[in-house]
Amino acid sequence: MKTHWYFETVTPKKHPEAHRNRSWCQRAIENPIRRTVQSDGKIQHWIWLPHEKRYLRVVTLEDGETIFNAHYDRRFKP
Amino acid sequence: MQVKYYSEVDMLNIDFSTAPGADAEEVTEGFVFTYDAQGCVVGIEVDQASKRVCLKEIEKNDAYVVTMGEVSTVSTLAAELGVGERSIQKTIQAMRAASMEIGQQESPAHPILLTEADVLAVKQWREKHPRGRPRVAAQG
Repeated sequence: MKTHWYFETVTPKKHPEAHRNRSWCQRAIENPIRRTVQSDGKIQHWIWLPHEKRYLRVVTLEDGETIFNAHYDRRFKP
Repeated sequence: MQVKYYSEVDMLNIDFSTAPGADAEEVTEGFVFTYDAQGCVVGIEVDQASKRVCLKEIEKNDAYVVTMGEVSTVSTLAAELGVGERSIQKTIQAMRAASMEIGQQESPAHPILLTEADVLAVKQWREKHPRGRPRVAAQG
């Protein structure tokens, strides 16, 4: 799993659960329920976390695999 | 309150508290609000901040602007060199055992961050200390 320094330095402080549970992020990248490309080229992926009853949003760089940021997203509507 | 603008990645962070986020949402494109366990907003992250926020006052103040330079992680360096992460970790361990200061790590539980100088040092160390069985020159 490739990670960006932003994910390694900032995400743990702001979104510790998403940073700790890297397997969630990997699943979001591999099997998202929605995947969209941002205007800057970064790619966002969402998955449903049934045990958490929440959606997770994972943002990767343009390569689609380097994780830039990840957090719960309670506003997301599939 | 703490304001940090990560200029290299154009991310603005405004933190109202040091409490870790328990929940979050992207309230509108590029604006992520983080909430504590009581549901209070503890932070705001703005992606592509230069397009969405007037940064003039923030950019004037060096205390707000964070520059990391080129930073690599073990995973990105491993991918660059075409080796496994474990191999890079072992190299770093060997360098540290040789009293070299290499990489920054907030705690053992946190990942190792490598500056450009660190990356160069790791590459040079690996050239000088090749791992595995030595290659036998082809005879003929």
